Amino acid sequence: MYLRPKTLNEAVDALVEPGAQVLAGGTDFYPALGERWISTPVVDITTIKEIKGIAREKNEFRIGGGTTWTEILRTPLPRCFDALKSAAREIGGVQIQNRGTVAGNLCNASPAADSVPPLLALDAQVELVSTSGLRRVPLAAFIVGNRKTLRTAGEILTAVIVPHAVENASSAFLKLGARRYLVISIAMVAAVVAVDERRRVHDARIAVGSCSVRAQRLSALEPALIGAPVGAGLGAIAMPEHLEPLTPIDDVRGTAAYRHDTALTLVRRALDLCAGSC
Amino acid sequence: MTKDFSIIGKRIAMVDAAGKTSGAGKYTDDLSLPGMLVGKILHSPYPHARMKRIDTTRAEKLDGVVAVATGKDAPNTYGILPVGHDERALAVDKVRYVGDNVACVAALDEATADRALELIDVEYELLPAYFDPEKAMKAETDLIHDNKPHNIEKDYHHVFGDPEKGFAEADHVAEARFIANEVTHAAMEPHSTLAALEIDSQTGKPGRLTVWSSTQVPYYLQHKLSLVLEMPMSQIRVIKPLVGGGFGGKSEVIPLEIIAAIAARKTRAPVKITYTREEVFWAHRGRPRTIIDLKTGVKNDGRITAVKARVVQDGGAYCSYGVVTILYSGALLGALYDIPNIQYDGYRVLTNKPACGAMRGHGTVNVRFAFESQLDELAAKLEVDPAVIRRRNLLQPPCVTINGLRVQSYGLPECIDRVVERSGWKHRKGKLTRGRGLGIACSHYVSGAANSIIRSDMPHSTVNIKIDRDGGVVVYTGAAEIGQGSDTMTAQIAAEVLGCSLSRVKVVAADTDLTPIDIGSYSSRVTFMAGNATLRAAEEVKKQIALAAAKKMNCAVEELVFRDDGVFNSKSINVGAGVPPVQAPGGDERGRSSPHRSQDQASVSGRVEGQILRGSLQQQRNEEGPKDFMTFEEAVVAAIDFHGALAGTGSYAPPPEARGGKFKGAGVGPSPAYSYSAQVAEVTVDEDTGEVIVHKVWAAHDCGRALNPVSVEGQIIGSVWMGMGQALTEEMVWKDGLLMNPGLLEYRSPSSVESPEVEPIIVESIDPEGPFGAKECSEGSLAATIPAIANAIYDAVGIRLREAPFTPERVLAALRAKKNAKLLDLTEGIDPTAPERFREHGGALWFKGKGPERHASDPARRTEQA
Repeated sequence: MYLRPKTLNEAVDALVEPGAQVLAGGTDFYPALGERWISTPVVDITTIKEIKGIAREKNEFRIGGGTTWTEILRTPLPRCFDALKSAAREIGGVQIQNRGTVAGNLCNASPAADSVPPLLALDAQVELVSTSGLRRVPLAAFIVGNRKTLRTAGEILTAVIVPHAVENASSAFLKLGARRYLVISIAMVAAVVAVDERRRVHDARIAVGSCSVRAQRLSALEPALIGAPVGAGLGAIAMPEHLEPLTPIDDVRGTAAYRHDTALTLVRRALDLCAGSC
Repeated sequence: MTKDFSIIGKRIAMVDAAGKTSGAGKYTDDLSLPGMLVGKILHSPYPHARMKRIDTTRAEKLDGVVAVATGKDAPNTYGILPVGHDERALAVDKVRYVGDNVACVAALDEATADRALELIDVEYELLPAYFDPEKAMKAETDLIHDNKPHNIEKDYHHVFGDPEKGFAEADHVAEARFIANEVTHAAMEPHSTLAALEIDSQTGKPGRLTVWSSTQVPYYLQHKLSLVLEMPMSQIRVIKPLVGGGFGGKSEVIPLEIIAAIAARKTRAPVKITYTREEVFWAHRGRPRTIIDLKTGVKNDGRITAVKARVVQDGGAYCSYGVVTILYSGALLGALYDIPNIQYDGYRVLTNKPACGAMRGHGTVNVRFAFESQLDELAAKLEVDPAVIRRRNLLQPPCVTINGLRVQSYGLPECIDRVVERSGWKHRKGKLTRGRGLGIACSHYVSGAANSIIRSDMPHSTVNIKIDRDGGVVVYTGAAEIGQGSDTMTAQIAAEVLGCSLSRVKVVAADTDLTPIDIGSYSSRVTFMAGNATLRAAEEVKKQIALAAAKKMNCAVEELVFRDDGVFNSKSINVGAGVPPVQAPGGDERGRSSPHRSQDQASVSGRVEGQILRGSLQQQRNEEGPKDFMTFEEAVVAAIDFHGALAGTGSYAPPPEARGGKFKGAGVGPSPAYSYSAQVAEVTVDEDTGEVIVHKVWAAHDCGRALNPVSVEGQIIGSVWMGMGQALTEEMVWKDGLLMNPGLLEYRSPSSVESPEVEPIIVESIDPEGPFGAKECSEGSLAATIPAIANAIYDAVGIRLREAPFTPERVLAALRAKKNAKLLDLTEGIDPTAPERFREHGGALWFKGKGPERHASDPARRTEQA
């Protein structure tokens, strides 16, 4: 069965089919098949208009789940989205960015998903719709493990919601791979830093990806930054003990020790980048 | 000098470029035949196991399956080297690596073939497996091949001069272990073979076999097919369509080539097999992981007194080119510098991994990395400029090295001088900002092996040329165009010798029914050997034309000059010697056109298929008596009328004095000529992450004479780029014999983003025996890039990297070790053989449900379970 519904309602109805899989950009779907043929029902959501585009609403930004990375790159957005845009530039190559979607990257829930650290740093929530209704879940809770999320088989991730709170904060994203592009990260960091009128940090969010089964906020570092003067040396506040939430593994891309080591370097650099653009 | 030529030395687009760029060109996988079946291969999920039982009945019963071939269909062993016949197309008793070939399904379509693979039942008895060569060498039991004790394929122990004395005389000695991890070719086109068996129209029995294959060696393929299928070579035709890159990965017979033929014979239908990218990685035949223990002694002035190398190569499960690889590693310690005393101990070891084979810079690359790094280290110790220490160890050619290699043309000094000059070495080296550095290294390579791998006195290349009455030149060559430009080279040489335009020349190549034997495109032999054969064939035809033309023009043969599509009497018309042909009506502004242009055009109406018509201009001229020139066509017609037919043949075999010494293993290393390279690399190192960026590489290469400079530059740039991949990012990573990165995402060749600016510098030493003085240009440069980058990293941040690739992780580990003033354990951080390192694997492995535990760890299964 291969269905391409035109509306969200049709799509969630179709997803009731047991074993049905959602196909959005297809950039993870097809590679995951390897050499096998499609054996499950497929619900292709690429033509559903309701889940596309980015809108500024009263209290929040709404990024449709079907929005592609190229669309995110081309839409003028406040500075707090700079990190997300940098991440969008790192997702595969241009062809992948033209097809791959925000919802796909989140639902695939790879520990190395490029978009997760910037969205975590923006305190994003995800909106899930099924025949039984709509629910919102914080992104930090939505991804529960390596390629595991709270999404149930009948749900479609329709939007990512970002609160206005840090709209004018500066943000930065850094990725380390064994090749500069077209590479799965060894480690990556997103930082969002907001300053007050005395040029001191009043809000800081730092998220690290590829260094644990799911990207992590550095909850000990963030409060340590509050009140710090913004300028050179902001990054130096980050210390090895702040990386405590990270549990990197050894794999074909790098060892745990190396990930740990460079994650700290990337955190410091990301903070310095934010400080430089505050 | 180049200006004396009209086609040689000119920047000419490849003769097959348009076909490739427009998509019109046909690669093997583009071909299809009526009734063609798809072949799919079942691979072993185990690194080392006895096959107790194989049952194909369930697969055979599947609708759409025509036949299932197994080892018993063609059990003869083969191998590229006569001393290494240890492979079977399909396993009979044992499998020796994950990916070894077990059975082949021929079916109506790919999906059916895929499904059928899962229905083949194989019962394996697992055997202990060996993944680390140093451990494999200690094994007494469960040997990978019963006739190879301690899993040693071959070991060689060479002593030249008196190394002990050399080290005793040295003022400084450096000694270290270097490791170069395993890399593979990653050619753009996956291997593909189409095989079809004709049914003999008289007997109704299977007749001749035709095989289209993506190969560098059509002749060897024909030879091995004959061996395995027990068919005479004359009954087998091998045709090489366009090939999308080889780099050595197609320089021997790859299992699918024979399997496709076996399946075609069994089904009596055409069968095509194209490897998936993952299968290309399993087929491999790349550069082995190499452990090099190297010791070098120098005098205070930098002169090398002795070199000792112990080399262990992790060769994988079959011999492949292994014996040649391990010999090259030792032999090519010579012929670059003047080294008076050499000791070499080489071990080619079998392990339960895919076989390694020949790869660009075969055998020399990893040892060159170690040697050039150590020389740099010694230069630093002696406080001698690294460029100068290399100049102090030059050979004095013509000479024969201590290990029996004859060196004639030697452009190394000029290569060094040119890169030093172009890179601003003297005023920039050691003076760049922190984290930025320059490094220099040299390398060399053979222009073809002087001794063929199949011992015989046959020529290494033979070329036939035939010319028709309309002046069309057809060159028949067995040389295999694999993207390196061999067809273009052939056409250029033929056109230059015959003095005709390039567009007149058609090259028919690499079809064993039509073209004479050429041993193939490997060891950078084609320009030198097939080029010389083409030159000789063209000279022979030219002689015949000249004889007839001289008679017509009433002059001596020696007075004739062939040029610009015409034959001139040099006594009356001043041609060549840098002076453009005589200006005549119709000559274009550049004066490059021939003086007979207007008449040539007028004569078109007077010519039908080479016949000269009554009343035409040509007829007129024929009757006008002796003249100063003839058009190429006129001369050809005269020659055919005179001789009855116009054809010539030429062949090439390396001269006896280039074939090396008499000791065991002396056959590998000698070449009629060596190319030389020197490179300077400029890098920056991020001291906090270990990332290395290569900004620019100045690469000088002595190719004898650049027959086509644009092609030479392309080869230099490509070599640098490929060398940079091995230096920084490319590495095959293993877990229990399972390749963790069998795809182009995690096997990281550099992309265009990482490619540095490469400044290719051509040095022409004009070899006395090369065609027009040419030598090789496609492999020699690669080996210099890795140590040039390593030495630049040292210049930038003061660390010596002795394990390639220099991944950010290894660089950072070395930086940390330096900071803590501690000696870096080479395997610290990364041990490619340590299984505990991996909790997930890097590829989408899929062995058709036959590797249960691997199947479970396959991330692709997630979707299936959902």
